[in-house]
Amino acid sequence: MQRDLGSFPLPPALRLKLLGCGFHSAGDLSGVRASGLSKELGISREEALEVLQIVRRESCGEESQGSGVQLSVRKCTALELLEEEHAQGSVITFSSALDEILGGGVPIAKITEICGAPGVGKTQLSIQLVVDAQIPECFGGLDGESVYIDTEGSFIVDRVVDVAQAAVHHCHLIAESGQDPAQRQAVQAFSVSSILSRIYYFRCHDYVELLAQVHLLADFLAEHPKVRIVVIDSIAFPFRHDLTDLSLRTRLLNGLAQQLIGLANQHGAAVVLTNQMTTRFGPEQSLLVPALGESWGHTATIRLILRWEGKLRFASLYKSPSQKEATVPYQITSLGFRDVQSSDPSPTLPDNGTNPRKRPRTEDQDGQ
Amino acid sequence: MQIYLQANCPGNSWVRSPQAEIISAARWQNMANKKLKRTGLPSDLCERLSKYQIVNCQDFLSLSPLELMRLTGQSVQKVSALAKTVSKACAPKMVTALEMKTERCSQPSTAFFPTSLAELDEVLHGGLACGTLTEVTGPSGCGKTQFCIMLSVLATLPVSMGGLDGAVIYIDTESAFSAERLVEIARCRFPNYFCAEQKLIAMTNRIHLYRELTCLDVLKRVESLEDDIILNGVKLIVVDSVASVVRKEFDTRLQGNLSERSSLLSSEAATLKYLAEEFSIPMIIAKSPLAPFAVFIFTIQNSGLVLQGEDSQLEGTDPGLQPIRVRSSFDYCSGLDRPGLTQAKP
Repeated sequence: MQRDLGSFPLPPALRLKLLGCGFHSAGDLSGVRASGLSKELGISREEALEVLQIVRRESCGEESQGSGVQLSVRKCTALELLEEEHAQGSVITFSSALDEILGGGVPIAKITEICGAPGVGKTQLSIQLVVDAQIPECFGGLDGESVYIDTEGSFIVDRVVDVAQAAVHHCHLIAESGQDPAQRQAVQAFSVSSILSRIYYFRCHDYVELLAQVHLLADFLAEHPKVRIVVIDSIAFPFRHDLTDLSLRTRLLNGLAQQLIGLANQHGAAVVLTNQMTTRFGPEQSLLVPALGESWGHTATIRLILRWEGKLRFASLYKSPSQKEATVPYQITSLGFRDVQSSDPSPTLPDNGTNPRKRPRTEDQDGQ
Repeated sequence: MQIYLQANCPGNSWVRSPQAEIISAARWQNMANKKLKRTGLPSDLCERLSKYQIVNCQDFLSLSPLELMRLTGQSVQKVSALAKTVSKACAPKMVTALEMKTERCSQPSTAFFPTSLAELDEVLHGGLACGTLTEVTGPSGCGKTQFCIMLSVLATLPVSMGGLDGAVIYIDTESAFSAERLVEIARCRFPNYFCAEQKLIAMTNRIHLYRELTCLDVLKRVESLEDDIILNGVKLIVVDSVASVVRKEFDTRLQGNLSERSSLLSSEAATLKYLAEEFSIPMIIAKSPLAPFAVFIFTIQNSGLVLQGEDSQLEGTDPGLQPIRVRSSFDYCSGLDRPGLTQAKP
């Protein structure tokens, strides 16, 4: 291969030395031994060996199936992807209306962004989701663990206990009314303390700690393979008040988003980010828009906007690659995040056999 | 937690649950400012980076991998390993929710600060959560300062009586604090406890009053509070009020003032939040996600605030959207009137 040496991930100083000695492409280095290279370039033998290994590995990697060090490019057909998507579940929200417009719940391996004004329920929804990710599979959940990264300090354990108790109680009711022995067995292990012990909480006080934590999150998820949801509440706060340099902010946020989507895909976890709202002053009126700027709007795959309208709260699906835009009302009760019609949590938790993510197909009336 | 006092003859107190606005972000940034020398990076690398003014974790982690490669002269794998080393030095420790709960349960008396308004405490799961900020807002004359003075008295009481048995730092920006009123509330609310003169003197001795009249003074005072907290065994901090100084000095019609004002307020809030969490102190100015919405009616009497009952009509609404009604006349009623509430417009 006549690949240019400048395109290999070599340290810049070494690259300059190679160019200086006349090595321009990968082909020039074939047949050169490490000791010879080290003498010519004036570098140590270990460094010369490293250079040769990098170049050889990259060249061979194009022919072999998958290299060990770097992530191989995943190729698969759409059919395989379809089967994969069906097999993956989603994290339910205990509000059947919201689950329906999301297509079953918050999806795995995607970034979901929840925006809203203060007090509308973003932290409540996040707490509900970290509890719901742990619901056993026979009740329609994922039986996973949760990571909660808190940048604002609004995670109060007593509230989590309330929500967890309500979820456990609900599962007990289903298990008792149903005849399934698997459910009864699963519900024995599902208790408030088991839920709490599987919520991993990190408190980041500023954006540096947040960046550091996301760097380390890949290793953490590798050590805890059962984690199914990562919540960052909120991603906007540390970046809005500490950073005055907006271009640095955009770059850091994009880097974060890239790392998070990589994690989401690799470990099969759902990533949920909470965003704040900011006022955009227009010529006539001012609008409430999600914070962090226009470019941030592209990073989240799914965007949910929560807002007040008079006495009710509404959740709107604003951006989604697979679902239609829709708005549903919801409420926050002492039990957690719920639908508006009844004070009981959604009665439509599926039993074994039906796929909770499939919603019935209806004819589209407006002919779009 | 945001307690919104609205003068609605006699008055409402809104208790609001989950918010996600200004809190957090320690002003001190103790982890971000950690010098690279202490993170475990090899010292020659630290030397090299310091030539480019990269001295602490914040500088290091703000760079992209390409820039790091250029500055350190290392390959991309080495650079990501270095980034992991630095991250390990400043990342927060993991704690499970169960551990948090057991820690809280092991010291139940210090988890919440009861406000002595029984129904309010019930809705709040025990009172003002220690380690968080609570914001009391409302139009002028509705009772915020009275509420603050009452809570100051409560904080000095022994734990058996529902207090925190600690000192109080009261930052007064409006010169509205009246020591006489403090003594009156103490005498009327706890006549048995404060019958002896010494108890009153001891109580008033524990309330440290700071009068700050400009924004910068408030900010400086807040940033220097840490030493005072440790010296005096402070268990409650009251800032009355945050808005008045800011309103006096920043005219929001002038361009640029809005952002300057918000950055000043957020740095104040960040420091206060850090102090609250670090020393497990309840502070009066911010929010906490616990109780569902609830509305109570209160009156102001000799003994401070007294609750009258719950108002279920207005439950579950956003107080920020309700029109504010201002009292036109003042009545410190000693009797207990219970006038009908005016309907709130949706």
